[in-house]
Amino acid sequence: MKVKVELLGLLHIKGFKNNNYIEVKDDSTISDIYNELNILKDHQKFIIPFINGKEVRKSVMVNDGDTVKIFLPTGGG
Amino acid sequence: MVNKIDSSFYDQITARNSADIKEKIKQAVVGIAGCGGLGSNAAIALARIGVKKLVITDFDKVEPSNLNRQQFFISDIGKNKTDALASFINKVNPFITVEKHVLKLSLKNIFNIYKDCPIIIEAFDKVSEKAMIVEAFGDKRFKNKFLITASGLAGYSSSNLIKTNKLSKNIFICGDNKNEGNEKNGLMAPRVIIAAGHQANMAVDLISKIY
Repeated sequence: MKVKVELLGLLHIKGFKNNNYIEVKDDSTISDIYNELNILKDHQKFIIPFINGKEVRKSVMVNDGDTVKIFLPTGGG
Repeated sequence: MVNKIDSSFYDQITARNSADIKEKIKQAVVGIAGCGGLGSNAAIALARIGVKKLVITDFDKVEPSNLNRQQFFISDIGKNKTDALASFINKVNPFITVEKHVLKLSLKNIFNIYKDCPIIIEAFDKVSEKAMIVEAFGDKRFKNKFLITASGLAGYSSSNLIKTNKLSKNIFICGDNKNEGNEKNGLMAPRVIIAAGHQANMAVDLISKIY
């Protein structure tokens, strides 16, 4: 199945064109998407995931056609 | 000499506020999480238009390096940021109630501190703290509140890169989402104030809708 992934904040992943669809296995969770995108474990602990505009835990499963926003805030204030 | 005790003075201070939301602003309660570059500037902007109450939190004291972007004076150095900011707010508009908390916000205390604030402005410096407050908005205790967070306001890149975007139904992000406040980029008043202005203006927009 396919989900649309939008990276927000400091995340820039080599080889991934932002705001695009990725192919994932059925029953994949947000954590699986992190691994699919090779997001560093150090970054993962500060990332806030959203599915279709709703904040979720990383154990939540995605469905075909979902939009997943992955937000890593940028420091400074 | 104007009598500051006279409530008609409030009306004089806010005479140039947008007429259609003047009464709503008067009732608005806004939380400010962090009283540094973003928080002090956003708080002063909201104080100038005369919100009813600001709930401000910070564990830090004013240092000389804060003065390049934060709303403090040399005479504030060494004071708690919350005390210095409350004092400034009182000089701008003495009718505003300021609830101060000198502590580090966490998932253990944030729900209680901001329980009466329908709108919270995130004004932290560290990524971990920004992530903490966004995480708090995944909790049912904050599901009916609005968060205005900031991400990307460092340096002196174009002002026009700083935007307000909607992250979810109740979370907004202000900033360029790119320029991090590190040693190389620095953090300077012009761009920090732009981002804080975005946050304060988003708060006014929400005040117009929820009050």
